[in-house]
Amino acid sequence: MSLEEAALLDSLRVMHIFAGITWIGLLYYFNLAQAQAFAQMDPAARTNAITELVPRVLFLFRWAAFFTVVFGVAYIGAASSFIDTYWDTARFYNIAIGGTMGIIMASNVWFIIWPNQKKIIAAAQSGGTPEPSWGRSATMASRTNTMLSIPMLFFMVAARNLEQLWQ
Amino acid sequence: MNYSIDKFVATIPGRLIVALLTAIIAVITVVKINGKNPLETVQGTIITGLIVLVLAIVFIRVAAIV
Repeated sequence: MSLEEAALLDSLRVMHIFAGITWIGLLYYFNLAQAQAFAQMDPAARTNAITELVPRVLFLFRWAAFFTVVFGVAYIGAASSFIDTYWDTARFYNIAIGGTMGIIMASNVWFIIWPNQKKIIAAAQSGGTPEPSWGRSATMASRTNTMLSIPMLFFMVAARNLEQLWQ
Repeated sequence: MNYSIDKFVATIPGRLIVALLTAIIAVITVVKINGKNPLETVQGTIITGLIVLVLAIVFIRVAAIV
C-alpha cells in the first residue's frame, strides 16, 4: 500500500469515527438523559423542548448516522482495493459484523425514529396531542439502537485491535 | 485463519454471525420479563446488549475451536 493510499484510508477512518462519535453520543443523550428528563418536566416545558431543542439534536443525529455509514462503506471499498485478500481477513470479518449492525441502526434512525419524531414535533408545534404509538415506535427503535451499539462498538474497535478473535 | 471448519466459517463468517445475531435479537425483542420487554428499561437495554455481545464472541470462539 502506498503512502497516498494509507493516507486516504486514515482520512476515511477519522471521518467515520468523528461522525460515529457524534451519532452514538447523541443516541446515549436521548436514551440516558433526555427521556428521563422529559418524564419529569411539566407539559409546557416539555413542549418547548420538543419544538426548540429536539429538532436541532435530531438534525445532527440523523446526518451523523448517514455520514457514519457513508464513510464506513467508503473505507471498506478503499481498503478492499488497496489490501490483497482483504475480504478474507479478520479485520474484514469484524467490520462486517459491526458495520451490518451500524447499517441496521442507521435504518432505524432514518425510517422509524425520524419519521415518528417529525410527527411528534409537528403536533407540538400546532398545539395538538401526539399519538402514543409515535413515541413508542421511536423509543423502541432508539432502545434497539442503544442495545446494538454495545456489540457494534466492540466489533468496530476489534477490526484493527482484536484480530486474534478469529484465530 | 486457523479455522478447522473452513466451509462453515471461512467462506461467509460475517453473514453467518450477523444472521445468528439477528435471530437472537428477534427473539430477545419479543421476550417479556414481568410483562415488560427488556428494551423498555435502560437497564434491560444494556443487559440485552451485553448478552448479544457475549454470545457473538462465544460463537466466534467456538467456531474457531471446533
